[in-house]
Amino acid sequence: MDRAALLSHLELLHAIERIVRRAQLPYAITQGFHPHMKLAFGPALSVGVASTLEYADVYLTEFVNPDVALSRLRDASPEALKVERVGYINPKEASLTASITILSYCARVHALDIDAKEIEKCFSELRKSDTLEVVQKDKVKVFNPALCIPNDAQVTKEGDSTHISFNLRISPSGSLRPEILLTTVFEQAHAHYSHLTLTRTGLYSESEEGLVPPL
Amino acid sequence: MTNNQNFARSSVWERLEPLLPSVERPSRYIGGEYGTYTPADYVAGLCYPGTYEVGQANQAIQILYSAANGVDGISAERVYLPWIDMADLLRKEGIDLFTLESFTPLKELDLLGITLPYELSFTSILEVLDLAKFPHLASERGEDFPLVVGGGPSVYNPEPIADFFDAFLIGEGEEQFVEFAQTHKALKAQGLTKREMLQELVKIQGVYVPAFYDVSYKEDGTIDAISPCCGAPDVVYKRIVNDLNKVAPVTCPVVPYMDVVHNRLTVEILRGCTRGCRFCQAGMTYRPVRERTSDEIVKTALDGLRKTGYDEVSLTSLSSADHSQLEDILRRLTRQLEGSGISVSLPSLRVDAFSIDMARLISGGGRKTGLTFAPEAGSQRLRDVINKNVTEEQLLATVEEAFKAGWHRVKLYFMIGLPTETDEDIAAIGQLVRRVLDVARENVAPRLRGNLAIGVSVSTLVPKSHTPFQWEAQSTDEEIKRKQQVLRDSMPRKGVSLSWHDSDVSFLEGVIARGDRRLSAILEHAWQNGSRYDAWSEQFVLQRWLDAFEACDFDPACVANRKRPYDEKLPWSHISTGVSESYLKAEARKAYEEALTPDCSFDSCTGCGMCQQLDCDIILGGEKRA
Repeated sequence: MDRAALLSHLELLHAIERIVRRAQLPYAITQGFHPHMKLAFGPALSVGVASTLEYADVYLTEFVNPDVALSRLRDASPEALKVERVGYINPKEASLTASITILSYCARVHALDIDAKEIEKCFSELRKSDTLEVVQKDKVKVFNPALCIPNDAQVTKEGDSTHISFNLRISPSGSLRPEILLTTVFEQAHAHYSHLTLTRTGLYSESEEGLVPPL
Repeated sequence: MTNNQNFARSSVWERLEPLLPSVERPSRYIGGEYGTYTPADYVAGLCYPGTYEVGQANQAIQILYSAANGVDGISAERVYLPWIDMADLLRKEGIDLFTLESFTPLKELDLLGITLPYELSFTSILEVLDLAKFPHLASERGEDFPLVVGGGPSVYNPEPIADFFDAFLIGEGEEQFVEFAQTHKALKAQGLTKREMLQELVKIQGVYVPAFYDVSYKEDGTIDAISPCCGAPDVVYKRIVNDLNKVAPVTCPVVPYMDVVHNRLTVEILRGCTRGCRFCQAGMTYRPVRERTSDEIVKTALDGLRKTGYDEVSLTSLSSADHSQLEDILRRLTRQLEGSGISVSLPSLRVDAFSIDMARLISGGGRKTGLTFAPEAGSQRLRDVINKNVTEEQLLATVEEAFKAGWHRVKLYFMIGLPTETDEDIAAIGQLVRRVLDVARENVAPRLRGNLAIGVSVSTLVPKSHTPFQWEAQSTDEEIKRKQQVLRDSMPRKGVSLSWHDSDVSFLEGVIARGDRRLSAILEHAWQNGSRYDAWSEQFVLQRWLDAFEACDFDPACVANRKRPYDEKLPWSHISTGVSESYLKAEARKAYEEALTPDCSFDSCTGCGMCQQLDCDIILGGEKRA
């Protein structure tokens, strides 16, 4: 597990702000009594969930060559949060973070006591049910499974470890948390395991061509 | 994750990592922040005996971290006390307490420095040692354990914890700690024993090795004699940095991921305060006043902001408004930072119009959160007793100025339990607050009067060592509770939010602050009874301490509530801040005469003896004061 997985959303946000300031980019600030950097971050990651790539929108007040900006941002990043790519977004189009609707995850589950096919079947059945009622942050939330879980899961086994890859869609009623979905699936399958690690492996926009990275 | 393989040290990371998702706020334990260093062959741990989020803000650790890591062949690594859930988990899993840079178990360090922030942190120090699997008593730690040294604000009476430490570094550490570590490294290379090394290390100015002093007691429990041996000096004088401008300021501290307290860049603009408040230990121990120059401060702040990415810089000191070039500094900084969303803050203000001008300068047209002033006592008579050179007229004029300038919140600090205090003096706090409230109401628009808030925070005097009040009796618990009732009765009901210190905590603080070496057995008992994190009010349980006092057959009131004769040998009499005892006695007598002593930074020398004893000078605006 990477240590950045243990940061809260707010800690991550502040870390990115500091990277931008250290990189000395001409960032825009909000107006008002308490001016702060205009920055937007994608859907929140739960503490303990790792991610291979995240996106943030930073508003600049003047043009900086993207290669120069990338180099400065990388120099200013701590090892666990290296900036990988930068690019400009047409201000008339949706911001990066607003265009993301699909979140891909991979869970590595250790010592799971049922086989891959059964997990896939359970996922598939869950998608077909009318509603999915879960408790998130002490509140009962009801999701439409067909909308929230756009595809079936892909499950493979490697020795003691089971890898479950699945996608979640951000819906108007909020986002289904991946760890809650997995718990529900394991409960329905009467499955037991020793521990699991969860990684966000991609964030995508949906278009006619299918899933596309936002940048 | 770690680079320890080059130095034959182990790392606990592999065992720690699986535990992290199950503990509260795991970002306390992950290290790897921006601005951290990689290990060298000699490693000194720098421990704050509290949580990451409190300790990370500690400026002394930032200074020592930067100074020690700037030396070839030495690295400093941070250590914090894990919160209770993690501490319990480490014990259950048998994992030793570790450093955050390389996850090295503390047992494998060369040196462990522990800062002493406050008397109530002493049981947390025992918790640190226990989590590291160190015997508490220095005498029981063999040659395999690193040297354990203490330093920081509470080091001026280290006697209650003397048995747990190999040495204390008295005074300012940036030069002293590096010299100590370098000397220790060289002595280790010679293969000397700990005792042989300490006999050499004690030659460094400001190093106090408690094992080299024998303390004998009289029948009444007071100290008979403190006798040095092994080449230790009769009196250990504090170490100071003569000119702050000659010591590189910290411009790239570790930038935490976690939202820590005081999450901002801090630039120390001056050290020391000679206003001479008679209750104030810091005023005596950090003398004399030494300012950094405005050029240096502006350069450090801008450089530090560039390197850290913080959105706020705080200009810190005991009394920042006292800096002779403050206006110039603030004007230059606010001009440079305009439009960046980066703010400048001052941690403390004086009670005068100049302070309001400065506060106005840094808030610009933006948010005016609140201003804090410390009149400390309600009546002029009592303010004279404590040498707080503030008049009621000044306070009211300052509040008027503040409310006219757009502030709607003011916080006032007071103390009770001061020498010569009467109920009339306490009731005067309520009367003063009422007049402040009246002035505030008169100076805001009628529609805003409902938003007015005066915060009143009232603490209890805990007489501290090395102050003119070090011989005074602390008010008993019953007396303080009664005085707090007088205070509540005198306070206006509307528009005031009153808070006061827990009298139990003040009592214990008083016992530890002036205790002698016999306290170590009590600290040990209290820790065994479950005391740790005593400075967190929800964790503090007085009964654990009362049980410890009883088990050791020790009367704590003899320490806290007893007035001492001026000729009594005090437990800390072999430790000196440079201020002479005769000056402290003279100040104590002046307190009873309600006579004032001026500030020697702006007036003539008041004869405390510091500059002569330590061969140092007051430095204002880069110039030695004549």
